[in-house]
Amino acid sequence: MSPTTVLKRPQAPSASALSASPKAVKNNKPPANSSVAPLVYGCDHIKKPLQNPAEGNKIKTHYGDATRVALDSSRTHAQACVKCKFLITRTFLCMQCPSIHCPKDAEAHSKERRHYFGIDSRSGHVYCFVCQDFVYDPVLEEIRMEREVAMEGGARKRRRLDDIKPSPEDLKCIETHTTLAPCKATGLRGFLNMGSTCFMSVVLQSLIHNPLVRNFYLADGHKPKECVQTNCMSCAMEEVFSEFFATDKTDGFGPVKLLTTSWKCEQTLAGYQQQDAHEYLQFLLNQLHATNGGNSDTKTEPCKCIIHRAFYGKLQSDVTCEGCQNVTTAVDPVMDLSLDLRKKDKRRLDAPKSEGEGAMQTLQECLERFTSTEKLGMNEYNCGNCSGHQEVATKQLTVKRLPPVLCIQLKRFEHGSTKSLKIDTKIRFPMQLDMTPYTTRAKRKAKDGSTDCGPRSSLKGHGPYLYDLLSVVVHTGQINSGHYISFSRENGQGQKWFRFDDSMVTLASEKDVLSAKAYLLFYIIRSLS
Amino acid sequence: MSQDTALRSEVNRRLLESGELERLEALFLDLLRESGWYENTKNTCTEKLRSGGLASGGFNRLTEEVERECRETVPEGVRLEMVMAIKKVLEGMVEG
Repeated sequence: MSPTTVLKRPQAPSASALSASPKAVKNNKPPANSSVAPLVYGCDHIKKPLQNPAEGNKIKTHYGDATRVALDSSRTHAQACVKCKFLITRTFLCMQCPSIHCPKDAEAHSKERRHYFGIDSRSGHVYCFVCQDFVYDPVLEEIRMEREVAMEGGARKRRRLDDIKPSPEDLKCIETHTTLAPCKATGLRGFLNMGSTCFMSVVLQSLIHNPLVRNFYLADGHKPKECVQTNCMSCAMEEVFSEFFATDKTDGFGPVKLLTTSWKCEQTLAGYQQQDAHEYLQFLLNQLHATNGGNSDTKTEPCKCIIHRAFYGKLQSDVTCEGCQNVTTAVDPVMDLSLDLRKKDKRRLDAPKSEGEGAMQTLQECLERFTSTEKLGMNEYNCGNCSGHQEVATKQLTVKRLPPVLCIQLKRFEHGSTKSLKIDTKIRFPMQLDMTPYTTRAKRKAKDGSTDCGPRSSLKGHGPYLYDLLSVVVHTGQINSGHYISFSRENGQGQKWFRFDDSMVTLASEKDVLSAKAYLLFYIIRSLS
Repeated sequence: MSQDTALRSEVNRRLLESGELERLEALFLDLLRESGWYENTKNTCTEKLRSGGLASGGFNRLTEEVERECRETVPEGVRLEMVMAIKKVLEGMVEG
């Protein structure tokens, strides 16, 4: 809901928009006497029962119970209307009596019984049938927030509509203590192509628009003045960030320092050849890890550098010997998931083309295949338990630990012994990705025979692990020539998308983004965005 | 007629309990986003709210208007793919 509706609601007090927000009221209220009735109500209709102590308490209890039902996604029955039994629609839980109705019957119910308030069974928001609108009452919002936090163990606090709105005092404070950055310094700037360096540009753009990496550099995470390392990639990265966020230039930037540092650190990058964006990303992340005080041995103890904190997850590999059912487990840190685009059984038989068969492949299908059980070849595994026998074994990869920023590579390039080729199929990918089904926990549950491994149902308290799309890197053209462009969300969290093509930065629609033939995908965990 | 309603509610119940409904909804949303419908509709909503034309209507009026206008603009391809997906799910139920 757009905040503007708050303004338009006739019942809202006539004060300015900001002071009308419940948050502002809450802040003005002295915390000591919080039992005193609040000054602002969601609407005039809800004001009446809430002002009456007995009725008010009843409503509050009812609302608390109802939100618990509404917010618990495993309680499917909250979706059924008592009257017409129709399920597939949004339903309202009555606030004054224990009944559930579909919108139509709820309206009738509100007229008949004079129960004017319904609770949306999916969001827990309050709908007033007199206003014909959703109302946001400070007291009830408080109850809902408490329930949400209690249900999710406090880990994933959902933000309230008003949490993001600073009070007038806050604004004043911010204004007087801020020197404004140049108004054009919003991080929206392109890179000059310095001779087939678009592979570098797209990778840099994906880091610049990654909120975690950006916040690290903008908060002086790496200080070039105090840095004594030679060929420091992090210093070069710092320079890019200050160019993008502290100057008002909008022309393309030539990251000369970054390019030469790359050349010095990695001989094979030197020269003006097109490189693989994914290889460069790996190289860059490794360098940034090393120059930001990362551990030299990440195997033994977890690294605390920004790169590891943002990108690294863990992949579990279980190899099961078919002979003795002995399971060998290994857990490895990974900075990305590389997904095969081909269906496995087809791979050996017909190498070149397997596209265009049936429906478009989806990212979820690729992930499902990536985490499915795979038969190992005869000589690939020797069981330590029943040694001597050459047994058939199966292997399964699952995600043991999900990273805050999930990088996915779609393996479009295949490098054979004689020639390399590019798979140019479109792979469908979503704006929101639920990673729950691919986790070790979910896979184990599915194996243990619980019939339902639906996205949410069986994993109470653990998930869903929702990710939002952050950046997309696209390769166009032939394998050895070709060009890279990328898409990123404004500031890594806005609703607007931008298209980055070397020094050109243009506004993009959701459609442009989703219809691209992605090579690299960056997703960021929901609770941070 | 009542038999039809009973069958319907049975199908609905299974859709919901198996988690298929959630999956279908997710697919539908993905398709709508990919086709640009989602963003267009969101813009329509924003415009309507900004223009102030539905000052007294609130959420209800907005949904009514938007539903009327945007339902027709769902691309045929999306419609087809959804029907196929739903069909597949329902067929799976009959066999199971």
